[in-house]
Amino acid sequence: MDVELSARDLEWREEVRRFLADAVTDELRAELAEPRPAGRGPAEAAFWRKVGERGWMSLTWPQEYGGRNLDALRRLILVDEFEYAGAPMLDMTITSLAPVIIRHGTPANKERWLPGIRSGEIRFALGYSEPDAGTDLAALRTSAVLDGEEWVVNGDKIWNTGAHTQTHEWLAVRTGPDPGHRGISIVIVPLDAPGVTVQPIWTWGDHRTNQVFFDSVRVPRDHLIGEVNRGWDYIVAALDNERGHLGSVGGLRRVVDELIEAARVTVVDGRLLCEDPVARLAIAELHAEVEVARLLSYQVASGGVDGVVETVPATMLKVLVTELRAKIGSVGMSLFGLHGQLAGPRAPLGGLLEHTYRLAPLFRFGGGTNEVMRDIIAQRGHGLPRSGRR
Amino acid sequence: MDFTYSADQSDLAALCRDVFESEYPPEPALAEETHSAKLHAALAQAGILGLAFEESVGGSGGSLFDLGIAFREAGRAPAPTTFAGTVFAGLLVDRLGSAEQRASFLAPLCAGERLATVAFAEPSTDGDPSLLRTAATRAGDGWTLTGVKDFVPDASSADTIVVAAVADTGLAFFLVPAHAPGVSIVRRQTFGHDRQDEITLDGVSVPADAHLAGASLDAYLACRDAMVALQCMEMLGGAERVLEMSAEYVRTRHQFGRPIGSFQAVQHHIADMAIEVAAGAAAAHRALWLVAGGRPARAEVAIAKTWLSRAFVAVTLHAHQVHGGMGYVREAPLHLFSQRAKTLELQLGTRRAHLEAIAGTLW
Ligand SMILES: Cc1cc2nc3c(=O)[nH]c(=O)nc-3n(C[C@H](O)[C@H](O)[C@H](O)COP(=O)(O)OP(=O)(O)OC[C@H]3O[C@@H](n4cnc5c(N)ncnc54)[C@H](O)[C@@H]3O)c2cc1C
Repeated sequence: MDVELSARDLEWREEVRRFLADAVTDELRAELAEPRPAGRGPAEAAFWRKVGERGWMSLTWPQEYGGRNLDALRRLILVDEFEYAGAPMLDMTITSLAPVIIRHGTPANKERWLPGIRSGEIRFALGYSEPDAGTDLAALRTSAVLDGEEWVVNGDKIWNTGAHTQTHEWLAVRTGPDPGHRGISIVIVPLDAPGVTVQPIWTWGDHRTNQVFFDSVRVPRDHLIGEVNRGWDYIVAALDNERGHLGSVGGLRRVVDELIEAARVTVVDGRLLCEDPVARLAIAELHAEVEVARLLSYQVASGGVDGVVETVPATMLKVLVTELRAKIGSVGMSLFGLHGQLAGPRAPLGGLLEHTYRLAPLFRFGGGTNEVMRDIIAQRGHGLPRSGRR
Repeated sequence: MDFTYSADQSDLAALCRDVFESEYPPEPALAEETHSAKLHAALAQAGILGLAFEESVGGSGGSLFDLGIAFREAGRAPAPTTFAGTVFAGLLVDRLGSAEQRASFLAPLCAGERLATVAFAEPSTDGDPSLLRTAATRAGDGWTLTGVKDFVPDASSADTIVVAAVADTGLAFFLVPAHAPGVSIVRRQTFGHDRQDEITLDGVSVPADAHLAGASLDAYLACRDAMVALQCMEMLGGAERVLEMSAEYVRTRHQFGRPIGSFQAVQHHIADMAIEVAAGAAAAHRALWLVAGGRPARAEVAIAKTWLSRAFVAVTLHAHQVHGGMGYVREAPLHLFSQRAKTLELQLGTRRAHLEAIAGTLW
């Protein structure tokens, strides 16, 4: 046992930190703070150019595809540092979808998509959820029917977050007669294809997400990833690639660090927060909990094999970190009394706390709802019988 | 002991619900407006604004308990903040003002022709009277006010601001016209998108009859207890509404071929919300009943506030969880309650302040 990061891991963390210190500019922070109606802003585009120049677009890929085959722990360190610095998150096209193409795609798939993904010209939006297929994703109905050499796609996706910023859809569609998991495939649909309509949906957290309609959209036959009707396996594989990151605590560590600093100088009702016995202990507790969450994330990631971490520990981490987020937002806001309800630049932590609070529900029900996560922990982790879901 | 409403009280609740629902449908777009003239006129027309005030000053001669019933319904709406703000200002004037001040201030207020608000918090304190800095100095027959008030609800739509200040006699309150020379109002940017203002009083002159001569620390604190009890009823109403919306949603939303409300994990969310709300109803009604009866209730009010502020927030978090994506969009009303829950937790004393009040009654 060794409860500390190795010299090699620390070196990696330094490398990431040095890069971020240079690449995350004030312009970038300001740009990211504004909800964007469409596309990437100029500062974000510049950031990604720097990531690309560094050769980091394919960081998590196997070496034979030009990647560095990062293990799960070093991926976690990377995501932690990106979150902590307030950098844009590494695109999941790179971190989780491209590895699926590498592992399961046809030679034509690889040739067609990987170079563009590595250069950043091709970015996928995740087109899974539908109005009637949320937690029950296998109920999805958007269909793709082969017509000669083309797939014809019809249907309706919702919560399609990347549809206005990315270039293509990584679209889960029904291709077979079988209901449920078996008849699902993944096809790539350019977002500018005729018949695609993107309608914005704005959320409480100031995200823009979208409803996307596909009306007889035609794509070449070889836009199907891997084998037909094997899509569910690819969805699960992509999720496994993402698992190590879901419980990253970099963002929360940042909030609590800023809270600790603010407590040194903030007076509420005549008391300096860091000298107020109640506030001191409340912040100390948040600090301790983030620290334990981070340790759990290291424990989970360092146990990963081939960059893929085990499902049950990663699931525990997801629940723990997302519940902690809600607590940090709520407790943090309350510590500032009336000032806690401010938003914008004059708010405590420049609005970071209230935004953490507004984002908390999304993290708890998104990425697999915490209810279903708890089922998985109890059933797969502790051998309890299944109930409820099919 | 009887925790149920009388027939009259139930009728009043139904009347209030009807006014809020018909004049102020829960459209999130509407709720971004911090005042609704249409609703306010209807509240006046139905006698709801004047519920707690005597008929001699234009009120409907009800009681503070009746007003609490109205606040519970306001919480369900959720009503624009000008309702509570105006009524709170009325309560202060009713309790601390002279007969003349009461008549001239409350009659238009009950008629819906006056919007008012209370300015208490300052940069130096959220609510501790001993930390107020705004100074009232005598100038001839009248007074001069200097200082900064903060987090004043809807100051810009109010015609009159009831300003707390420190005079040679101690804590004092003044009726200040919102447009008086020397008054400047700057909107704060709040997470709830409500309207709360920072007010600078730069040597504002007010006449002698602007001073509420009945003010004392004890009288103010008793009045504040009444406001907090009403606020607890508002939080109760909000939490009840969120519970109902959630139960309804999980009955109708289907996943895996059945209502999501058939899953035990979802049922437990609903059950936990129901427990918070039921206990909150008991705590809020006890506080309200005691203050309405003119009984000292510092601890009971503080207990109600600590419970309800936590419960309302918790209920909204459960609700987000069972609504999934559909509850998280701006078009859905849920976030309005989530914002209001957090805002009300912090207004009129944080949980921490009220816990201290409770502790103060123990040792
Ligand atoms: C801002 C935002 C961005 C998103 N981005 C994307 C995206 O880019 N791509 C994409 O495909 N999706 C995206 N999503 C969708 C997200 O993954 C879903 O919201 C999530 O899967 C939950 O589905 P739902 O909202 O339909 O909730 P529902 O599935 O309706 O769940 C509602 C409640 O029922 C409970 N429940 C359901 N089934 C069970 C069960 N069997 N047992 C116990 N409890 C159960 C849930 O736990 C939850 O509490 C996004 C959502 C949001 C709000």
